[in-house]
Amino acid sequence: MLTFTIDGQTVQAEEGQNLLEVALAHGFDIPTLCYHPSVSAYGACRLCLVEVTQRGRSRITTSCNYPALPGISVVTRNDRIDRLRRLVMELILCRDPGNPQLQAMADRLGVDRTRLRFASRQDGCILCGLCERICRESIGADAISFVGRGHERRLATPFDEPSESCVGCLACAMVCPTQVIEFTQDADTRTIWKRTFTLVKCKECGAVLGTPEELALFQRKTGLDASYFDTCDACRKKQTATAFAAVTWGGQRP
Amino acid sequence: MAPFSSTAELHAYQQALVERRDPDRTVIAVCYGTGCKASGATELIDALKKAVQEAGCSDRVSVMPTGCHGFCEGAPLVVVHPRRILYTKVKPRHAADIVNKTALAGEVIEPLLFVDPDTGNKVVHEGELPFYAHQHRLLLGRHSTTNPEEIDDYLANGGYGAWARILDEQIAPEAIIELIKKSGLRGRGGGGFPAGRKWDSCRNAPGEVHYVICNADEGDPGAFMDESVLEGNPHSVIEGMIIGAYAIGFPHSRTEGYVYIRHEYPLARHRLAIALDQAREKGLLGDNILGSGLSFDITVNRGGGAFVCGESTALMASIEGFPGEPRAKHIHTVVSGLYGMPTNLNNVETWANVPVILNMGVQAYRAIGTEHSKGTKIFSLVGKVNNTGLVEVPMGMTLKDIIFQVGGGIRNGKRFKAVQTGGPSGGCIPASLIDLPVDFDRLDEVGSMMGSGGMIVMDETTCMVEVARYFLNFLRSESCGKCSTCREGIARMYDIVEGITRGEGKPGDVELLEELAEVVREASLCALGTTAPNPVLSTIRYFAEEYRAHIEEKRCPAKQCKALITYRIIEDRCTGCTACAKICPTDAITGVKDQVHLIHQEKCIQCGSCYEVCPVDAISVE
Ligand SMILES: Cc1cc2nc3c(=O)[nH]c(=O)nc-3n(C[C@H](O)[C@H](O)[C@H](O)COP(=O)(O)O)c2cc1C
Ligand code: FES
Repeated sequence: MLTFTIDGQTVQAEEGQNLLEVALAHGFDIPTLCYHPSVSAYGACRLCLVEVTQRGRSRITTSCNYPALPGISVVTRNDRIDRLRRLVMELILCRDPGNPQLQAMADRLGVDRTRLRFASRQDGCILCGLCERICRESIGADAISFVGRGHERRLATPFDEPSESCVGCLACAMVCPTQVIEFTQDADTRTIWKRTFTLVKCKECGAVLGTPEELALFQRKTGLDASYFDTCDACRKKQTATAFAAVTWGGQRP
Repeated sequence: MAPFSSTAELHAYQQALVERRDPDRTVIAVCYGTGCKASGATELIDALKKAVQEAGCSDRVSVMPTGCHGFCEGAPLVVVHPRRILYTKVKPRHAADIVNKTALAGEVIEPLLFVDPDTGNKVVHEGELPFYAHQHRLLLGRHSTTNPEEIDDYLANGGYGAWARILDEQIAPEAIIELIKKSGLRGRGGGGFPAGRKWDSCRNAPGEVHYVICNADEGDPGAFMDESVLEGNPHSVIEGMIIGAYAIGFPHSRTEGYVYIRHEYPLARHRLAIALDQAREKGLLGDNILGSGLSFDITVNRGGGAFVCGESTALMASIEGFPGEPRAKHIHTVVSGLYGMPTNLNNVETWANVPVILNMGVQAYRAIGTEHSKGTKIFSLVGKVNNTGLVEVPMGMTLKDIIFQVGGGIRNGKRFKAVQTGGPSGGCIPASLIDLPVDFDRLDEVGSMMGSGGMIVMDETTCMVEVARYFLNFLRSESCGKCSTCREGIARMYDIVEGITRGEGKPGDVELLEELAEVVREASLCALGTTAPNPVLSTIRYFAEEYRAHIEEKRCPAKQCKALITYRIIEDRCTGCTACAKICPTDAITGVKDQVHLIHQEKCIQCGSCYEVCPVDAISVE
């Protein structure tokens, strides 16, 4: 355990934690667009700026990838931080001024519009990389990656073709902070990143369980029996309860 | 020959080399650096070799391609040893004369000599060239006498002697670090970080391997300092790295070396590979080098082809096979760098300084330079200066001396306006600061930086807003795009500056640029972003009037921004020769022969062809 201060308050953290997670856990409010606790910090959006003072030297830094260190003092808000965050927000807003999620964040930071020219491609993607990290680090599919440099950077499947390693799990779409990863789903199929998957359904109730690729991946990763993925959660619970009741009361509720 | 297993064997070999070598042998050294290659050095070398064959004197005369001598203005350069007769702008047709007259008969060929424009005197010997006379060529000085593909040339000149002395005198690794600290050597790759301190931190970081890396990515457009050192004297870098590996990782850790070299440098890579092979053959790389107990070898890695790959963390990611993207350096690479191990990265020029320092002694080295910047620095001097080329000068030489003494002043008698230093994210320094001594700290103070040593000289015809636009354009494409402030910030600053050059500037643009500059500088992830605003900020700081003229008066004072200039025909000068009408690509000029012509502004694209072609200066630019 190590001790330092955030906005004057003494806090404790484990070694290896970053400033942002410690601050959030203690109820401090720091805006973020590229952070998610289940994947590694990346430092792309630059909204989580704080001021860190260590051995008498202060600097502005992002908190999501700054390690918690003993004895430092962290300031999460002051005029300078607020001003820089608003400028960062203006820059991000250029990527798609009409995006509701971005507008909400801008409102929160007191930015009513961007004074800058809009980016040439306005697809709502702010290149935070959460989709790429969740796919690679959490799902283990590694279906999308960044391509291009500088102002031409974007996210894509290899050669912009339907990705072979995509399992259609939708984790990328769910984690996207601007909600712009498109997918469609009807009764039997799901389409994402130009690839269409047929859906597997619960043997009991017919509810959608996911794509076969997704279920196979989860089975491989969890080592659970394949039959586990035959039914949906609700039906499985019901089955378990029935089996449990049979054992306990011989199938007869008292 | 068996590899040397001790320093005694190395010394004996060197002794024998010196005795065997005829100091008066005739060698025709041809500069095969960037400038000379572009000016036909390849054909020249072939012609010289053929001439030697035809004269049947290959036993007495040899032709030696070397690394860059520096005086690119005279490219291609030839130096005939042993008298060091210098010929400039040599063509293949001169080959036979050089062999027959100079090499065999000792005769000087007058028309090939360089004429000093100031005195009108002909320069016969290399050392008398004013361009070299004001330099202090610790690193480059040997280039015209060394065959970079021959380790014996390096050995005969005392090469690997600094390393051998460390072993002979049993100088401890820690003591080497102390010497490097005392020498005041600062990294030549841009940041100017004290090399000794970096070595020390790396040595003290725990890890089973300590990596020693040479940064030869050199992505700055127009820079070729590192390329030249690797092409001209690769063993100096290898010797520096061996000493570094010893100081940083011996005996407590394993050491491994890498040279990360820009992918467009095939010749440097080729020569480095030859040098590494020869060093291995001689037992100067490999296991238990010279019986010291140090095992060390160097792998060459081809760069990822992006400017940002030269940044330390991006470079290490790239060696590991990941995309060349920087990461936050809250944990330093000396502690956790390549493969998570302690890693010491230095620039080519930094490494090449190491044996030089140990050979000349710390005291003598410290005597060169300024209080906080010791030694020399290589600059690539380009732009509107008479003597373009590679120059090596003591730290602290003033801009004036570099540009006017070494560089020979401004071309075509124009007025000096500014010099841009530090590569694409450096800054522009105005003529009023011409007496500035050039070292790490003074360049920072005036809003520029040392960077890797680019120096672009500008005259009165340069538009400073356009200069800012040019560098922003480079940086917006070369930003890796990972963090929003660098990616969006540079792109948006570019939009504004580009708008200003097109006459679309608005009041408030300069202030907005300054705001953006602050956030890009303060909040970006790596030094590409944190330095990217320099070109804009320095031109705003020193040339605010030019921004104002563009924005408020829609006028480009340097008459460069096409959207803001108008070409007109001065009626009483025009002779009606029709030259302008013939060359105009858009048929915007009409007129009858022998009568005054007219430019139709609505068709004119401001290409300037008419201005160039008019024989009587009857075209004005406003
Ligand atoms: C965008 C960027 C590009 C860089 N390119 C180079 C390069 O081409 N060569 C180099 O030696 N250093 C380059 N650097 C600096 C390196 O990150 C690092 O500081 C340097 O190699 C350390 O060596 P030194 O201490 O000997 O200067 C670059 C830095 C940045 C931010
Ligand atoms: S949350 Fe830290 S940079 Fe985005």
